Amino acid sequence: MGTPAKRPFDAAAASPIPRRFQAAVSAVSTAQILRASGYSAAEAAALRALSDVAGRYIESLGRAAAAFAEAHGRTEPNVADVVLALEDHALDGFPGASDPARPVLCSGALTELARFVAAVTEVPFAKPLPRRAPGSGASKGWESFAAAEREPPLRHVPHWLPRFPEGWEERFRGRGEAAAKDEEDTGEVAVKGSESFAAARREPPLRHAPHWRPRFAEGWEERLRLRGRGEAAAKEEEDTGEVVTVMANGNLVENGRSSVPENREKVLFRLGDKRQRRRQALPPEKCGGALELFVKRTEKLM
Amino acid sequence: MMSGGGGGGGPGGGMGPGMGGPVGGGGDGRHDDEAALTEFLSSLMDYTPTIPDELVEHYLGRSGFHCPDLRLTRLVAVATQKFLSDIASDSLQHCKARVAAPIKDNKSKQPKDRRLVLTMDDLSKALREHGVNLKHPEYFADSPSAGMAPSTREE
Repeated sequence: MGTPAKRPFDAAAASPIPRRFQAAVSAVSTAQILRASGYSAAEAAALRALSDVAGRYIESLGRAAAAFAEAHGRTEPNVADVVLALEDHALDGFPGASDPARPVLCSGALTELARFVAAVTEVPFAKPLPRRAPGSGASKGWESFAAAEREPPLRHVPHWLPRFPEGWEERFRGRGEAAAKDEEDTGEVAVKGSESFAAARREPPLRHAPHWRPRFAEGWEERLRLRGRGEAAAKEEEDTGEVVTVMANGNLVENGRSSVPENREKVLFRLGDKRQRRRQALPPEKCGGALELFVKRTEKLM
Repeated sequence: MMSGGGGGGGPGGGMGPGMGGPVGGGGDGRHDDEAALTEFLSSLMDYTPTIPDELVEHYLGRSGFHCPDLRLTRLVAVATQKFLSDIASDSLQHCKARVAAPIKDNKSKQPKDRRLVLTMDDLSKALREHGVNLKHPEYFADSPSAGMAPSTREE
């Protein structure tokens, strides 16, 4: 952005109108200008595009004026800088442009502007816009640890970062507990489940599988073969018959006979995949018992 | 008024190439010009630009232009307003040219004159002359009127 603000209120004065608000305001202003030029309606996309272009034009003027000021060793642009920026932006030229010794303050660009101001009727903006008072000081909304003279609770957090909000510990712990509860059943298994081939001192059965990847689950060959032949559906049926009917009918049916036969394949396929995936994530020792319950419960919810 | 204003260096500051201008008879001329400029700037304070000052200051702040002088902000606002009205008049000419070109029956031309709609097509043609390249995809097929001629599609 150009030169940094010298005083705190400078930063505040130049700061945030939120983006959608600013887009809306510029759209309204653009619409009023269009109406004054004779249009009675505009496509929404065209209005948005034109108001965006207007904003960029203002920014471009500001950037050029700031650049001229800095080229002269000043940090705040004055009227001469603005006039030079205006001349720069006059793509169609202005009277007197060919004279390199032209006086800046009475340039042709300004006279064109004056003519425009005299000719056009005034259409001010209807509602007043909020503006930060220049002397109110920059309220950052947060305070660093150092400013609050408190020690960061965690060792890796530097003292110049914003303070943690109040009650962060309870929220953090609460979230951690919920996650840990899910992990409880599989806690001891997780370590075992991720044993690599190398750690188990076994050769990967397939050549492309590197030895640092987790071991394949027991019985993977059988499951792979069965799935390829589509018999997994049949095999899964007797295991997951209950689960399937819960899904298909929405009510609890114990035996698998009253479900709608034509939908069953589709439902089975989806559920079958899910169960397959879950199975391969964990060794088969844990697939009965608690995991079964967990799977059934979530699928009932779905 | 210029040198007493809060606008920074004033004429004695960074004038750029202008100071090398005529000295003798031009001295008086320069005063006149400055007087004209001063008058213009003070007239700006009476005239309220359509683009509100806060919005202009917000956009100027994003590009590093910070100036406590409200007259400069108004100057930029008026310049932008002139820019927009130039574009609007250019696209209005495009629109009218398009309406006039096909010789249809007279009664269909009248309502179109009364209700002029700014379309992306006209806008992109007008912007191209001012150095902005705007391309808009033809249509998204999400409404029954997608793909129809723009003059029959009003919003």
